[in-house]
Amino acid sequence: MTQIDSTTLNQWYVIQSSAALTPSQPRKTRLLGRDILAVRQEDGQATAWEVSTKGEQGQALPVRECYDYVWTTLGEPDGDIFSMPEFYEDGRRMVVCGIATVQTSPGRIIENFLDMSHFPFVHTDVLGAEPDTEVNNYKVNLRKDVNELWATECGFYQPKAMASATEGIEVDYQYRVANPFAAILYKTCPDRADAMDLVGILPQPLDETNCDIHYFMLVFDDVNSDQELIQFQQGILMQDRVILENQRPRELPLQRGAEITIRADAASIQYRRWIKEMGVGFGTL
Amino acid sequence: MTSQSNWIPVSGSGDLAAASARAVVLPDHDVVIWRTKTGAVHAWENRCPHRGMRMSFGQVRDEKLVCRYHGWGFDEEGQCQNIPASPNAAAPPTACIKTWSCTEKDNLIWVDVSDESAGEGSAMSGDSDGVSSLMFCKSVYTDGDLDKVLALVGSARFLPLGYDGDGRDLDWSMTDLPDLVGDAIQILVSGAGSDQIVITGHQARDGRCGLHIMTPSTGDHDLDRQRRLHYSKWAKRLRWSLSNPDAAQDGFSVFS
Amino acid sequence: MIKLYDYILSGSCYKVRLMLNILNIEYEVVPVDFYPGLEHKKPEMLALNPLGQLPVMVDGDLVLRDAQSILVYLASKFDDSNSWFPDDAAARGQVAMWTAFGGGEIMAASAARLHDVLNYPFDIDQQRKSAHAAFVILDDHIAEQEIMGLDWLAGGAPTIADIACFPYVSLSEDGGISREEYPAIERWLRRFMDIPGFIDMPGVLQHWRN
Repeated sequence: MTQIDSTTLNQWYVIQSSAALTPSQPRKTRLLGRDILAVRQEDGQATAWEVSTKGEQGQALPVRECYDYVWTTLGEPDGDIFSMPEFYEDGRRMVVCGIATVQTSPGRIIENFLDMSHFPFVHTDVLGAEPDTEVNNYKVNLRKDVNELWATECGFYQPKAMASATEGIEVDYQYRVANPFAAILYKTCPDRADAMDLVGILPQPLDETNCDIHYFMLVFDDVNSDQELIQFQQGILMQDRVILENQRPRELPLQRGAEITIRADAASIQYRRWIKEMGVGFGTL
Repeated sequence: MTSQSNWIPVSGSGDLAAASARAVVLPDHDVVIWRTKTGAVHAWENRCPHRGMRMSFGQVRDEKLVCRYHGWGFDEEGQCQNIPASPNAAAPPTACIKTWSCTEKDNLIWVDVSDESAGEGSAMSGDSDGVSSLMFCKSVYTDGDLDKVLALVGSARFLPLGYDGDGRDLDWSMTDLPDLVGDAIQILVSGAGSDQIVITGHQARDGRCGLHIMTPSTGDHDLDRQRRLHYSKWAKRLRWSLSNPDAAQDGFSVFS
Repeated sequence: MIKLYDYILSGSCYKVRLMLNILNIEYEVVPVDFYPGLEHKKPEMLALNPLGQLPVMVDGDLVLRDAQSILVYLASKFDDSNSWFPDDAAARGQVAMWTAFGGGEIMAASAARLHDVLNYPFDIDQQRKSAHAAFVILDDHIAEQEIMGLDWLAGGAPTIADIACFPYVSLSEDGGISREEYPAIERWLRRFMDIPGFIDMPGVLQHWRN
């Protein structure tokens, strides 16, 4: 494998949910092309280390537990894991939806997550439906103080916006790309007019074109069981997966003009520009 | 046996239904073939220029091939005509898909993915005199290099059964079929079940090749149906023999 | 009311949902945390199905496991047209044969999908090879049926055999099994989606009606 760029190397990545990593269930996985092993020790501490090609225990890796996930890095992150204060709000439920393995690059996954215009065609009758296909203008801002990309004032008509929805609503979305490979959606909460529900997507890049997607919801919801919420979100992800695995190339093209864009792709355009400026070469062309 | 033509037979005509699309993956080209509701066939690069989605997952609607991902609709020239996310704006002229020459002949779909491929209209040279009104029976797929597989079939190692079905003692011969465009072999079955089989094919990906089995139409609907069924079953035996080259089977054996 | 212990991404549960919807039978869904919770392997669900598999159907006192068996039950009880699981001995034999194929050989495609999506520890090359072998048999069969003017696996009308085979064939791309070499299967999938009462599930690419 070619040299991994420092931006990609110096990120925190989720490698397992806290609940799924138990002393009897270590996780043997890969991160950025390297074999790693995560183990919860008997005293409760989460640990991880690299595994050599011969299968021997290698260098110990830094591990954090945050937002009900286990995180590690192969580099030296400048800062901490991104902030998500909603996690600590009373009454919100953190619903960990599991892992889905997808054969594509992390950039394609994030970009699909930021995209509203596929809703009527990929999530038909759930997140969108013809003829309500138009994507109205929305704003994309690079928040330089925190180095995050935000898309705001996104509105879209959705027949079944969330598991609890029984009729179509005009939803308000905000997208937050907290780092090149972590994104959160804030969307209208059906139960509370003053709050937004969160859906997060945290691809763990196994290599340049294979990812384990960790995803979660952080919601106010008095109607649905965790199970109903999980199955709704898993269904959405499996609708995306068949698309993601059939994009060519699997890497995200960053050269100007490599793919045709329109105004509705503003978030995608800015995302590509942003990670290109940061020198992300991993999983891109 | 090798023809100078760039035309590659990739599918039986009947295996591409009206208003549908299929992927045909050639060694160096991922191709989508699709047919309009009214029957025209097209072969394009299997990739939407917007976000790279394979167009073979798309749908034919209003005589356009519509991408599964964002619903972009491409007309028969490969030019994008509508973008649902932006319904009131004209699609950019750069939003187009590379097209290749594609035509139908002898109930097969042929594509030309060479650099010289004009996109449309490049005429197919050669006539298939003597094998007129060929009827497509079945495609079978096998591992191997097309040239070698066709040579193996053509090297008289596989005894075809004649149409009469009972014929085990048929005389038979094989000839090249220079008039049929592309690589093809012809098997002539004489005797009680006198008949003719034409086999051509294409190299697919991962070392696979597809063989397309055809036989002349008699013009009689019921008889043709029986013959198609017969040669479909025959094609399965051919596939088995190609996959089991060392095994012998009565009536369809290694012949050396 | 009929209760279906269900997981949205299970093709086997989808078989039952298809039949219920096609026959327009009211039912209640009990979502089971198949993943990540593995609830189907826990005592409450094992009491309903000791095999630890979904779906499970409960109708009054009757508890049934195995999608194929549930299809037989639902068609026998609710299909007034007697076409989904016909009485005729020869027809019924054929229907049972292809229904068993759907619950048997075709399930290699399910295993490949579980491997690719959820990292089940299966021999992926072997599962894909087995699935392709089954798809070749299915494609040959459908093509020959079509030549004889028959659109469905066991004759001229759809039966539970078609329902038993449809889900994991149409979801095969999820497990890295491409259907380029199976044009007859593609036509049959398309016909299936036109059956009145058809519903999709995530990963099944429905064809848009013109």
